Amino acid sequence: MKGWIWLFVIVIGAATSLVGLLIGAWWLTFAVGLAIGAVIGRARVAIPGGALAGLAAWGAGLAILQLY
Amino acid sequence: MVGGGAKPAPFGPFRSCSGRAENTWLTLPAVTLDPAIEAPAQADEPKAPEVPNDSAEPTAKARRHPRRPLRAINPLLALLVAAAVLYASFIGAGPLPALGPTFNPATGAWTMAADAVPVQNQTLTIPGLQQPVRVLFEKDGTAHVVAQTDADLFLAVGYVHARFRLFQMDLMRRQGEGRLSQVVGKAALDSDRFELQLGLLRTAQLEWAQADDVTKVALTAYAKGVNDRIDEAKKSHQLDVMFTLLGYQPEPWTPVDTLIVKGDMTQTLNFTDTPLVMELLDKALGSQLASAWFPIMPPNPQSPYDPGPYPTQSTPAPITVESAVTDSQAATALALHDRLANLPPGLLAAGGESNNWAVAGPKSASGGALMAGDPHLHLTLPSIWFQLTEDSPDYHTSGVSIPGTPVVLIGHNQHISWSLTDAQNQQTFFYEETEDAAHPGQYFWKAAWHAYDTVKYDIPVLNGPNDHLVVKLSTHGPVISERGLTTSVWWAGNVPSQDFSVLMRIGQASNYQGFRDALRDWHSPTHNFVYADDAGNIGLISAGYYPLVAQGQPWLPMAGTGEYDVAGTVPYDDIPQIYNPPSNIVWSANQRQVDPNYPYYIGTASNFFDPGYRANEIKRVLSQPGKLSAADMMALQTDTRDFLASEITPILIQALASDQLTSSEQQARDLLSSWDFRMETGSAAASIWSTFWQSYLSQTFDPTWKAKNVKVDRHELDDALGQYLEAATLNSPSSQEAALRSAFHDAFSTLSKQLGGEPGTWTWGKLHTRVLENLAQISGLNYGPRPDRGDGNTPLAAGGDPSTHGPSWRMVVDWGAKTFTGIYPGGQSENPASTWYTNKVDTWWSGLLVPMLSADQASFAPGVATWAMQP
Repeated sequence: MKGWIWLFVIVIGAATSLVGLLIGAWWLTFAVGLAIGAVIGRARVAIPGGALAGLAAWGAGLAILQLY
Repeated sequence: MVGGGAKPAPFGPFRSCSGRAENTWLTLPAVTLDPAIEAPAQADEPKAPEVPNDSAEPTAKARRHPRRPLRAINPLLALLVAAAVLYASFIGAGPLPALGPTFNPATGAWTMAADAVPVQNQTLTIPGLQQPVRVLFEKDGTAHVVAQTDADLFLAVGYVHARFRLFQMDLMRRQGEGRLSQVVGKAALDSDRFELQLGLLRTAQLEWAQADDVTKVALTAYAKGVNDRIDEAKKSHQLDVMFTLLGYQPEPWTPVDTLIVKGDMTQTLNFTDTPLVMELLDKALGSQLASAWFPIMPPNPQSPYDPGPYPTQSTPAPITVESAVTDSQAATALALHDRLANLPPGLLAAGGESNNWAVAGPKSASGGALMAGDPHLHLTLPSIWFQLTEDSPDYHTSGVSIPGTPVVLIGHNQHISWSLTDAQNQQTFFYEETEDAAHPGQYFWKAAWHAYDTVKYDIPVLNGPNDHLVVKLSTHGPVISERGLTTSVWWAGNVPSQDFSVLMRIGQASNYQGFRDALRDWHSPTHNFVYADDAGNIGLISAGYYPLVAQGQPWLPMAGTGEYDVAGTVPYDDIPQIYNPPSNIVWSANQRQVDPNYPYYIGTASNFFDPGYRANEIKRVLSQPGKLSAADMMALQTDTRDFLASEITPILIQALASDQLTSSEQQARDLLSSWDFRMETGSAAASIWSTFWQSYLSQTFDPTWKAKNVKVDRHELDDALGQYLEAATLNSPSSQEAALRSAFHDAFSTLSKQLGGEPGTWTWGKLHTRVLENLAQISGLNYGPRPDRGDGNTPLAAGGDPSTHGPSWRMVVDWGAKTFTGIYPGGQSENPASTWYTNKVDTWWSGLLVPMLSADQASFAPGVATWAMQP
């Protein structure tokens, strides 16, 4: 169950980062990373999870902008 | 076991490695992971400490205490690290700019990738075009713009320039307009204040107001093309990443911006502080010694290209003095000199090192005229040049243009070819204004008090308040210093002129008469325009203003009371020029163009004109018997023979003949004895010569420099002092023998310490390198430093170490064979990720040139891509 919550947090984090990037708030990724670290206590999950969320947001933002 | 088994849990990975849970507490202090990483780990299993019976286990309590502060400290550290990263991202840190925005997927560094993709066949819609335009790109990026109207041609050129060089163009206009601080902060404020004082912007505005219709059409169309690209780049998020890095977007381009870019070049080439330097030397050394070491006429033999006969009367022609030319703040010569010396490189002319020459049909192997040109400038990435062909009903030119300007500056059309070197004559005059406390805000001129005109500027400064600047203008020009004596400057670059109109007429000329007529209106910077045509004719005209003062010593700052004002210029028919000389050769390399019989003052030998070693060497090679080919022209462009070395080395060898030398010193001497005077990277003699000459200069002049407390850096004057020393050595070798020997021993000692080993291993490449500097001064994007041949005296100009100036473009034309070749160090794109960023460098470095194709030829070249531009 905890794993699903963590995944949910990462997905929400990625989405939040993406919105931030698309509106020019590139720095929001940092805040999301911190939030993920706070919510997910386990470093082994929080660190790659935060990185994944940031990368997914950045990559998706890039893809959207290129397609646009 | 209970306590010990639970508490190490947060450090699971270490426990599993050691296999001994109890010991993990002991290993904790040695763990040096980032606190930001450790923080969540601490919080990972908050219940773990609660498992043991705390009350029953006092030692466990004691162990738990340290974790409370850790719980607080780790998130705090994580926050701090994140805050620091964000701060550095927004504000930058030290020399590091704010890099954060470069990670923005919309406008960040990623945009470089899109712009770096090789150009493909494409159809573009370009607003403002009247007819379709075709732009062909060769595999190396050379562009060919083919338009059906002249206006379309210049519009398309504007678009192409902006597509590949927009940041460079923006930087150049900002520099000239004094708006760098707006994007880089107060670090650029000195530069901005000086530029606004000097008045490039005011001059450009006047030039635009006075422009003829042809110029207006060209510059307006060009600006439209640039703006089409700016709009497109903003819309498609493809602005150069430097805009993102600096956090701004380019404003629309205007015709005045183009005139500012021209002003930048004029300033770089001929705004000098030489009169201030001469005044400081005069004061420190005394007029007798100063005039001996820094004479008006050259003390050494040179090769003027125009041997006369000259006019017998010097009647100044009227010169159009701009009424709105401005300046501000002045001081004593030293204060002003120091101020100018502290300005960023490029704002002050630092001596020219360009070559051009032509060979007439009778001396050419092909039977047609030959022409070669290589202007020497600061070598940057991107280059100052953009190579292109312009084809329209009235223009068929091919060569290089300066991004920001619409025309080919150096190149050829169907009938004629031309290239430039700087003429070096004095175009900057300083005036000390007479002021009086009883007449505030006024200066005394022609027996009356006159109020200064003033112009006010607000200079926007990034992250700071606007800087307010008031520029005072006397009749001479802008006041540029008020520290000590109020000093204003008359500068030919501030006289409005229609140089773009001249360039367009050159582009349309079909013979020497048309070429010469066009140059009649060329004013500043004064250039040596070499000429060759398809009928086998050659010529050279040093076109531009040659300001004349009615009286006084113009090589020093003069009183501003009216008697010493610039009264006119040398009449066009009297300026240095030559056409089809009997020798069948013409050449220029920034040397004095005329001999001492020329009746007009055009500048001092010491500081305005080149010492003439390159000119002498070029003349020597061109004068040899036999016919010359295009291959000979290319070889001469990369000639590394040091003419000064060829004069002095035999005298040095003779002086050493009666000297006591060690065996190693004998080796060094023998290397010099068998040397061909070529500054090749593998030559040890070249290193010995160069080090010897520096020692010779130093030992001769430094004692006086120290004793007299001369405020000017001696190295700044090495060219002038070298001429004196050269003449002294050639005229009286025996009197210099002791000094020659001493300098040789000193050079030997220096090289032994610096390079070690045997003299044969002291190759020039170990001492001398060249670097192409990134325009934004990001050293990681430089090319080099890399060992390179040549020095400041060789036709292949490579002065300094590392050498940052040199042949910025090489062109060779053979009208007999109808071949046109050229190359510049760099690439067409300013984008470091592009294959066109440095793709031409290696070819240039090896001394090779590339065929300059016509648009028709290019359309059949392999790998060509075409843009079809539609209205």
